[in-house]
Amino acid sequence: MTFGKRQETVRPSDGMHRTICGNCPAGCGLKVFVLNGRVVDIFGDEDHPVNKGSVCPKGLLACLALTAPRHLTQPRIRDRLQEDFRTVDWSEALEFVTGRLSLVMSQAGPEAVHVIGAESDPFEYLSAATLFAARLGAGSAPFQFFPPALGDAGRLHRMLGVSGARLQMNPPRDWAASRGILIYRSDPAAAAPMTFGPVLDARDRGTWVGVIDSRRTISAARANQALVVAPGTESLALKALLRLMVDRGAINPDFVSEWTTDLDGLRRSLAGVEPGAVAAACRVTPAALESMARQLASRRPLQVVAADTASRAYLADDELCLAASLVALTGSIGVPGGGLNLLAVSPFNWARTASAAGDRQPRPPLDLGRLLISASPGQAFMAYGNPLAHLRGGQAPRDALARAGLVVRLACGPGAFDDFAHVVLPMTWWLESDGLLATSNGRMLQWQRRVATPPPGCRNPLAVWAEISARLRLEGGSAAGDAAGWADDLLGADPLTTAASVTALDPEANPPGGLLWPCTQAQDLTLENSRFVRGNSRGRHILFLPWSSFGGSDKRFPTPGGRIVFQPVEAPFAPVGTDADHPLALTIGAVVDATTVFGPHLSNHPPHRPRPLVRIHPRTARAIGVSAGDRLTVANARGAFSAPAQIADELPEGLLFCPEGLDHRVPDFHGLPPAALFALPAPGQPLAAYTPVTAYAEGSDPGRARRALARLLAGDRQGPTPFPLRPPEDLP
Amino acid sequence: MRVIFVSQRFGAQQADLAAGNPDAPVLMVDLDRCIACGACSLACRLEAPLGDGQLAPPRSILFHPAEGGGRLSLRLPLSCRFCPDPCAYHSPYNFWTTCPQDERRTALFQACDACAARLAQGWMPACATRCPMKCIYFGRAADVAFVLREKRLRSFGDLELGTREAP
Repeated sequence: MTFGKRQETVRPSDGMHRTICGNCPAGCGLKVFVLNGRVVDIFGDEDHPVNKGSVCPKGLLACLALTAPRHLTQPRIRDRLQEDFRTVDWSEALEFVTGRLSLVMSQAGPEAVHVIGAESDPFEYLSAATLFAARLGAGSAPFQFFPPALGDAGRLHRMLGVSGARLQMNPPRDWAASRGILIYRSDPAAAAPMTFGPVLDARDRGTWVGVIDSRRTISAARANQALVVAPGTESLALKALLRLMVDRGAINPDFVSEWTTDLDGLRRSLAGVEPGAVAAACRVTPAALESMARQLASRRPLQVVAADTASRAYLADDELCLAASLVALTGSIGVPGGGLNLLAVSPFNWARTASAAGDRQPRPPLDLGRLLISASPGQAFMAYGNPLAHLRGGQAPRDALARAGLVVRLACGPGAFDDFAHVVLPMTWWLESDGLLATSNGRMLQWQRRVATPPPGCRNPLAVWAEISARLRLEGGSAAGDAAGWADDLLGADPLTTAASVTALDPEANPPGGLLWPCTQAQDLTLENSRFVRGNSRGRHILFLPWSSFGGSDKRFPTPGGRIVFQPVEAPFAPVGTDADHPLALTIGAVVDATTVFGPHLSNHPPHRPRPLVRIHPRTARAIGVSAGDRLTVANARGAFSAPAQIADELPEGLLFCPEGLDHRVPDFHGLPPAALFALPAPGQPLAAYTPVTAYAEGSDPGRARRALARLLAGDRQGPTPFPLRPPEDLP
Repeated sequence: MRVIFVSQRFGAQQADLAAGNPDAPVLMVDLDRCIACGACSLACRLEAPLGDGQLAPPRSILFHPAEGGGRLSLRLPLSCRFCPDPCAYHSPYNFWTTCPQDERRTALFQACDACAARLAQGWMPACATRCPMKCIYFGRAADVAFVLREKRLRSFGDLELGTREAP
């Protein structure tokens, strides 16, 4: 008997529905088996090109949460944070919200209302909240909190004419055509496992896969070559690699001369980069740098993958431009297997949507922590999910939030943000309502269908914003409409998606895999089949083809001159800043077997044992007397937390690692969320990926641990060597 | 059930699938594609949940000690995470961990039955079905031998540990 890999359940069910997982931007197709309207099992859709039948553990965990009793089912309000919540009906809850909003606005104007967002928020929340903020004249709109380097103000936009949030030149289905894939500061195997599948497929077909990171992540462990650099020196390594490639003449002269400009400026800015000094600063051997540079120079087409959901907020303008320069120099743009392929991309430009709705406010990038500490007491904040997960700057922003006049949380599960909320509104989530999936690791639009019945008290974000708008008598306030009509309106209005519609996306009526954007004409709704591409999902696979123009523009590259504008490398290197009191560095990232999308931290972990939550190197752990499972306290001047330790050899000795989304609501975790121990970013700058900390066994003497760490780390250079960037004037 | 691991890191080719019953079930794991995501472990827990809606611990495939000494047993899929007395031996790079403890631990977990309900339908077990990187393959020895020959075209070595049923 031959056994088939059948995505079928052995449990009794009376129906199967296809939909798309909403846990991460990979966008896997699901087959949901139901019995009497309740979900009994979930498998992958074997016909879907992203996952071809598999489901990763994060998606499985998120689906299991549907039946958990923690789903918020009724609105809750309280007048003051010191009081308990009381459960109310929707009418009373929205009356409370609009009453408080009116009060705040009467005292300080609509600028005192802040609508917060994150790229990972559902499309219905982001779109409706953006339009609400625009029509209200709110002080902040959701898209202002997106990573600045990936927005229209970022230098990557200046270089290519497209902002990083909308830039994926070749989708994952094309990646097997690469000869070389460089994964930069990203761990797709942990953040979005299905997106890593095409990388492994390419590797098994002979593609060279390289990784630059400060940890030996799983992605690094499965790559052909990993450059594990000192924390904070990743961009230095990229600069040195580019310098080595330029020195080797690894340039496609035809592409560079015809389609780029300002290469001399880039060359001059790289001239001060000395690979030997960089190797020392990165704590790698010069041979390792040379070896990776050789691969990058010889592997064409070459692509760079970066900006997964966990790491994109840390990317700086320089790094994105360096990565783009890498592929532009070798002419790996507009060809199969090439490209700068950023993940979690979306076609929607929310700033433009807000402007079209009459928004006249300047909308610069904002950091929530800085906003909070600069806001006067009594202002209003409205958010989805848990914006505290990334809130930096210690206790001060939290104290400021506690002085707000109104905090509204829209969510489908409980979370730490409840501690600061006056109003909690229960939302349906992606198995329970129709909705558009626009943020994707594969540059595709997909449509989620409702396959499970939500609790009667839960509502879709569209309905909530519509009713708040109506109660505030906002001009142009939307009729609630249905999610399909709403999506159709926005798809038709965006220049990159004018030909898309919900009808064309419905997974029950169309080939699986959604629709690749830009889709601006009828032929973009078909399976691409040319000598370049034999597509397995509809739409245009490769951007910047030589004979094409980018959606909304009449040029191949939508810059003013129609060419790629190389950006000089400018930013000086800033070390992590460890010192005698804080000899270790802490970083936060994705883990493959846990998710916080639903709210609570769900992981495939036995319920009766402490969860391992802080990863520490074995020698570092031994130095401070900590074994696996022992509680570890991590602290700096901004705060502290304690959690069970996990001994992990993927880290360097001086680095600690925490999964994202930890807070005091996670079992076994005490103290401030790890993000709070990080400094606030400078205005318009990315978040810091590392922060200096000290660590010791909970309850032990911190001083003794510090001395032990000093002895341990003294055998190594203390911190990275400051990078000697010679100014261009010194060059011959 | 025989379990075979393949990897380019293994120098030797040990498994002789031509020997023995060609219809005997074989589970083959490509360690070079495994990303230690735990989907197989979760799939195992989901496939046979406890009656009160709680997820069960994953089931164990138990092994003889290796030939020539050494007391090795291998937990599939990663039951040692659920062991009440775990050692630090588990590493994300060695998801398919060889536990250096003795078989006293074998009494802790239910034995893997290769998802008998799925096998009866002609379907692969839950772990092979759900693996996101498609690195688990299950079939008759003759079918797995075919797939193994394909992988050897790319110079994979393999490793087989002797198996036995749970007590």
